[in-house]
Amino acid sequence: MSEFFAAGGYAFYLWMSYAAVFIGILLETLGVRARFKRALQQLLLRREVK
Amino acid sequence: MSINWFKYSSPASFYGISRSIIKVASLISIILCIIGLYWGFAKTPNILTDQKEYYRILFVHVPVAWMSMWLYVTLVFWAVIGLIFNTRLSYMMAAATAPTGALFAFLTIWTGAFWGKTSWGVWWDWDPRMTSMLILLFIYIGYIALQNSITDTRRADRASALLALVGVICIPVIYLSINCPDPYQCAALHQQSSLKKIENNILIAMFIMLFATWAYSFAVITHRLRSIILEREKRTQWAQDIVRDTA
Repeated sequence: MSEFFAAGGYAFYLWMSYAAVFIGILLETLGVRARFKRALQQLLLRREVK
Repeated sequence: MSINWFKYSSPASFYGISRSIIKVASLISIILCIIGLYWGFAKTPNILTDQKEYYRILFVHVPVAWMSMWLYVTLVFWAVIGLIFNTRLSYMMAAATAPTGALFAFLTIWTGAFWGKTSWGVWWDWDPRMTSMLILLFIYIGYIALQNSITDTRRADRASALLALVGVICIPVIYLSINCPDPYQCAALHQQSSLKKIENNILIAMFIMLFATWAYSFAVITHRLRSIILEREKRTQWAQDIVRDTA
């Protein structure tokens, strides 16, 4: 297993690339979900004000 | 049975089916990502003739690079449809596509830097492919900035659509930067692209990851589009009804 993660001595380069992609995707997903929640809350607020 | 596609050009109709689209696309993306990574790490050789294990960066680098270009073409398509037919949903689709495209362009440069350091010994070089990808990232940022800087959404949509249309020139430039008709004219670190030279298992893993990225983009863009629809249609009755149903 450690051999797998060592990636023939290129672990830093290989895993940093994968980490960047997965962190990027995770942050985007969370951001999109938060924006949708905010949009729904604004609509709810608008309805209550009415 | 014929489907009336024009029905879905209305934000209200599209919103209704968007939830199912997100669920299906997300599921496809997760399944393909697991299969693609398994194939990429278990079914491919550890060392190629001239590259060591770091070549596996390709399984994320190539899909995000291709998707960043494809998403730009999609963005321009929706922007042009919006300019011609003045359809609100088309502009919303273009606006929803841009952040994902920008993220992928950034990730292409990031993963490319790690590839460059291992393969060529440099993090960055003003190689035609890298430079044109950086320009694509700036065009995406410019599109998003322009869209957010104009308060009138209709004007913002039209102005950013025109910017997107001008920026489309970047796509053939990126393609030609490594598929140059005369290789001596464009000296580059990147090799000419040739899928035939790549080993079959590597190619399979790369394409599975490409489809996973495509499905992810479809899901996340549709999700962002739902927010944009709600933000822009908040005064309409149907949007109010959605809140009533959700609450």
